[in-house]
Amino acid sequence: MIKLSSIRKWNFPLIIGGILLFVLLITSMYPEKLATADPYGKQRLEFQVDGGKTTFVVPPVPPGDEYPWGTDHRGRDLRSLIIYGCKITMITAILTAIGRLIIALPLAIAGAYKNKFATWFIKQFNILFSAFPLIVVVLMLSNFALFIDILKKDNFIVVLLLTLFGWSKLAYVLMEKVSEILEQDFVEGEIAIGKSRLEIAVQNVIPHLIPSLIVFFFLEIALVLQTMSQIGIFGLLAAGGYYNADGDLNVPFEFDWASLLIFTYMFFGTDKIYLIIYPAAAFAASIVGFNLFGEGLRIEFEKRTSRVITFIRRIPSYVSPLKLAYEIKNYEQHKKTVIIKLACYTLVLGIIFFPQPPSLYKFDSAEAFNTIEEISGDKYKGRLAGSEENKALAEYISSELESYGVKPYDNKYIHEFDILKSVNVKASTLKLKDSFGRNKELIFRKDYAVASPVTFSGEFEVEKVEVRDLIELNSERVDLLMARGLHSKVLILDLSVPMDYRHMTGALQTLAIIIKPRALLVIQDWGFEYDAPKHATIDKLFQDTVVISMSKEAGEELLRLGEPTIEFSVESETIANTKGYNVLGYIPGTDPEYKDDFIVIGSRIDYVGDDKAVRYPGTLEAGSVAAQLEIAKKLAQSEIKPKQNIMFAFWDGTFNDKRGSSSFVSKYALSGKIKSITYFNIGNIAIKEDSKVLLDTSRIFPKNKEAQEYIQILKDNARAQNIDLQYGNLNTPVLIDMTSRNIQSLMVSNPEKEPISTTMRDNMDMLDKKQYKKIGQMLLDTIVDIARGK
Amino acid sequence: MSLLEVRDLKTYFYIGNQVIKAVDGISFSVERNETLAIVGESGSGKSVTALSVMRLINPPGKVIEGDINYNNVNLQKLSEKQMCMVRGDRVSMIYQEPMMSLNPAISVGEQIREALLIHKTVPKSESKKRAIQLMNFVSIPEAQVRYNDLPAKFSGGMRQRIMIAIAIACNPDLLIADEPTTALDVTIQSEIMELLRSMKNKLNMSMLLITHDLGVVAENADRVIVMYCGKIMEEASVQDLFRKPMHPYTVGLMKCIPRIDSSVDKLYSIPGYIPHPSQFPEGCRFNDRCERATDKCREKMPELIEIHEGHKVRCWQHHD
Repeated sequence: MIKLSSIRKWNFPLIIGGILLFVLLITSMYPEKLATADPYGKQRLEFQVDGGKTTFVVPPVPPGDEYPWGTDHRGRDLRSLIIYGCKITMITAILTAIGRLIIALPLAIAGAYKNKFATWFIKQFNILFSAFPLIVVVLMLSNFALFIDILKKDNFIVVLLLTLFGWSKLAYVLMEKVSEILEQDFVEGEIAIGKSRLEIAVQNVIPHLIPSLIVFFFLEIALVLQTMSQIGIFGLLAAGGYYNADGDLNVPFEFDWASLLIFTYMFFGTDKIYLIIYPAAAFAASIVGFNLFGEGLRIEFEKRTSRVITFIRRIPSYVSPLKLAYEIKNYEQHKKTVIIKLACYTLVLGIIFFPQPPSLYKFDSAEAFNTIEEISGDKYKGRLAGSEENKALAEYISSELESYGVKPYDNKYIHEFDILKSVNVKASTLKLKDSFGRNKELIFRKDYAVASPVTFSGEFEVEKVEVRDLIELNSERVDLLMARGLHSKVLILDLSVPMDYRHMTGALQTLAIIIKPRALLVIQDWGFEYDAPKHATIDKLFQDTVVISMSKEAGEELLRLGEPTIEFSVESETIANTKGYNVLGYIPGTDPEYKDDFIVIGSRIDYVGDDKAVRYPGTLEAGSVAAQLEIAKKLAQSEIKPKQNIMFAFWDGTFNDKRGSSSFVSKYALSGKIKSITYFNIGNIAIKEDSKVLLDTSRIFPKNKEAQEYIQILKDNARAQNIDLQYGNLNTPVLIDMTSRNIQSLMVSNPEKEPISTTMRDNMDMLDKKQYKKIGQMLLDTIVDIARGK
Repeated sequence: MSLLEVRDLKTYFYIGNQVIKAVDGISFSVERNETLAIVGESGSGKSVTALSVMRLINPPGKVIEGDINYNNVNLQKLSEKQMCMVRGDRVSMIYQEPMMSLNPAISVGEQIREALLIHKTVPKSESKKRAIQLMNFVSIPEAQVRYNDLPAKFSGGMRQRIMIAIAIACNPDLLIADEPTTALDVTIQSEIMELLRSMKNKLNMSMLLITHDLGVVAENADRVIVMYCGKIMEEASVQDLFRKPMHPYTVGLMKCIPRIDSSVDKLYSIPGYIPHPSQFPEGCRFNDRCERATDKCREKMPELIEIHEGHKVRCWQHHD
């Protein structure tokens, strides 16, 4: 029975603060256990039909059954955002507090030792930032274009600024504390035995300061959190989205609590006040927690016989391995302690290094590599959509699926769809001839790329045109342009310098619609270190003009020659009015309730076709297909009977206007034949340049509980394989097709620092085989776990 | 050559507009293996003398004049770094309040070890062993076990022993003991003084013993300096001082010692109070409390002159 008198002795600030901090710690460490949804998923515009009545769901969604705390204006579940944002918010605050301590402590000690500069510096900084609070400084800096992008770039910048501009108060307080310590008699005793000031400061002052430092540390964190919340309300330093110096909207991917307050000025006083209340409450709880804990520690340190402090002081002794070794050596005297300590060590090490259960099915990477070799080989000639080779590829995949026991969907494996035109620019030459007759040959795809699918050759004079001459036209200016005879020439347009996007598009439209030159050499700042991607170069604006995109370096060389003649040829292949070939196979589900629900795993089979003399093996894309086939094989040949249907989709025509994926969506999803789809897109995986694996879950509604479970399973399997899973926005035409109301899609891919896909570098040399095996295993385990209903 | 020679030392404190002449022109020397005691009432300048020797006077105090020569080296001219090498190694000090002089947050063993390591007296690997030896040397029981104890776990006497262990860790030539027993019980006082005597003999150390206790002086000192208001009033061997004190102040101090063989109703005390350091009287500083003061005493400060060999006194009564 606890007596009232003993309750009175309890250190309530420490207890309550400790509980709050414990909650924050658990939230930071295990957000996925507490949040019901992935924080990156977005509720898109949705219309719901209910009893003949149609309602629109438009973010921000107010709190309700589906979203207990509502969503933000981008449709992200607010509760998940706050839970997942806890870690980065706490880390920012803690790092800032540590940074301030690192600056403040040496200055405080120097100041206490009457160092004139240190004392002056602390006092002046303190006066300055008492007169101009940090928030005002940041507000001022935010108005300079130079600082806008810097300030909002990263949480690291937040830490840096809050540290650099916020240390002075702490330094002042510490200086007074150190002065107090230095006035104690024992300091004179230390001097009397011959210690220098520095030795006294480090060996004798700091140990006395440790209790105060610990208390100040927690109080400082509370102060930093308070500042962060104020800054968030003003929309400064926040990662919630902002207009940069060029006027472009930037929406950084990561978020913290401060960035959730950014729209306070928009929503305060409206019915969307929940957008502010929940993040503000999170801040309030954490500020209270740190303040109470700090004050509670202060109370404990001031007690002469504090059990808490005695316990803390003994911790190093408890955890010291040397002490344990000594106790084991003298086992008889320390039997009980040794047993308890060894049990604790075993438990902790066990949790940290707990062996993951082995995968049920092994991903056969050797088999997958054979498939990659097959698909990316000469036989399919670069897998151009609409070609006979692609049809053969579709047949190959179908036969593989059939051999595994995967069933054909809708009674067939191969699903044809119409492709109006499939093009492949296969070869080109371009020579520059100056007025002295000197030649310079440019390298196709390294110095220039042809953006028009034509076959063409000839020698031409060139003339440079300026963007300013091609915009804001009136009839008089048009006449002047036409009088120059530009339509019969090859024109050079330099777009490599920074310019207003509207001017650039205006100039191009003038050239495409009014002037229509024979050919257009566009100088652009490619930014590629290697060759230009093949698929990105097809231009659709110009119908009658051959468009050649030129790298900045090659363009400069061209311009240095004045107005040379150019001799160039283009050879391209066009397959018109042809067919694309999707391959769809599936494993039927066993639960009648899910008969119209599908989990679809997809990758693309087509590529850009080979050049005339250069192979485009498309190994990375082939890797996705091979991984998918391996997953299909393992699942089909296992004993697992999934409750919902699992489909393996191999898309053709993904580089074309009419894609295989859009054909599938209109035929099966929008028609209602398939009621719901959760779509997994496998992008290019295991690129040697980067071991990060990006996961894009932004197209999954936070309220879709099943899809959220699948995401969690994927994350767990990534952790099991030690895969560094990161989150970001990935875009691919297939995902665009899949973004409709009844399709929830996610994508796994490696980021490309330099473009690799559809370049000559997309070959076996770029495939990280070890990483491929891990990612393949992760994907296989994920699909198996979903199929098993884990 | 004397081990320590102090000549015309003046240490003043500047507080506001006032100048406090805490030590006002004193000269003395300490020979090797000798114990020199400095006695006087509180405020006479004894401790300031000791702190001046150690160069531990902090603002607003300052040694404004005088030489302090240790082994013929002028300590005033050393850099702070050089002085750090002297303190604790060649010249050590123990204080009146050991608890306040020991760092309450560090174990006693570690504090002794620090003293050894600062002056690299022993290699680091041996320092703990040596520290325990020192603790045994100063009769700390169960030294090995108590090595890790904080000062708060020791009694006053034990703490003073720890202080002594720290002070002698590097075998200094000179130990300055500033009222080492004042804060202790009488029984402990004698133990500590016995320990100090023993250390001095074993280590061939000199000692500058600062005290107001003539009993301690009688048992431990070889020579004595009597200070009053920043000035030396009398200097003599212990035997001479006790047998034939000359200065009225010294006589007064002697009379204050209660005698077991006399019965009195009231213990003797020197009339009056020690003047405020900023308000010393003209002439001899003791004149306003001296029963034998004359007009000359009130007008002019007498010089410190040698009356007999080794016996000096600052009094007009003995000049003629």
